[in-house]
Amino acid sequence: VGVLPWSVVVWNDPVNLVNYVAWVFERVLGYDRPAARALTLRVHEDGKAVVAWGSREKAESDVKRLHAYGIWATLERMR
Amino acid sequence: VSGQLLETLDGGARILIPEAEREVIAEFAADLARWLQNAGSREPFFYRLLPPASLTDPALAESFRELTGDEILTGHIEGLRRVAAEIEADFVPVSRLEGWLPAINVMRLFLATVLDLDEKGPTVTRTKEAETLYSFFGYLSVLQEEALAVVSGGQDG
Repeated sequence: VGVLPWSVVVWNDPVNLVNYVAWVFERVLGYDRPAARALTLRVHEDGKAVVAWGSREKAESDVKRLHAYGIWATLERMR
Repeated sequence: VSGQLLETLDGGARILIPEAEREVIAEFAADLARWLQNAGSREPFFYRLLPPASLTDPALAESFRELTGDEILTGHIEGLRRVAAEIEADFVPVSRLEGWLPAINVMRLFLATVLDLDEKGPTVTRTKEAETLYSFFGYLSVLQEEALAVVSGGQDG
């Protein structure tokens, strides 16, 4: 309890454009372009994807920055 | 609608948007910024602008909103005001265009919430007003894609 990291989950939505989401993943999470694109397509096709993980503080910071770009992200404690 | 932004060799874009369309964008961005400033953060239309940070833990979602909501909302408002001011220019450098992207997205997210948009389009009654807003939503989508192409150096994605 409290040892496992937290994950950041991004959810698919019918509004955000694929190219925009990929650009945000590059800019906010530091992925290179191919990885950001692949992750965006995973979100789109699977409905959601884990895009980052780490300490609670890091996960909260990532979610906050994604929300600032209009991306729907949630925090999940790994169990 | 296309060709609103023309990438230039000196790191930016010429803005080719007709004057009347610039006025619509500027007015909408300024009005939305004003409304976000005045509305309470519990406003239902904020659903996509301040989404829940947890679907399974309401206490976590609430504390996250308490901690971050004002700062995120302030960022949305400042971004909208920048677009409203800068859309009148003839040229926009990439550094500023990058700031337009989340602001354009805020406008799209708000319109999508008002129109209750799903994969097939608006689910609200297709009134003339709704059709006008949906057209504007589509216009902003094209503008956002063009801005993305410029900030991405003209490369796909």
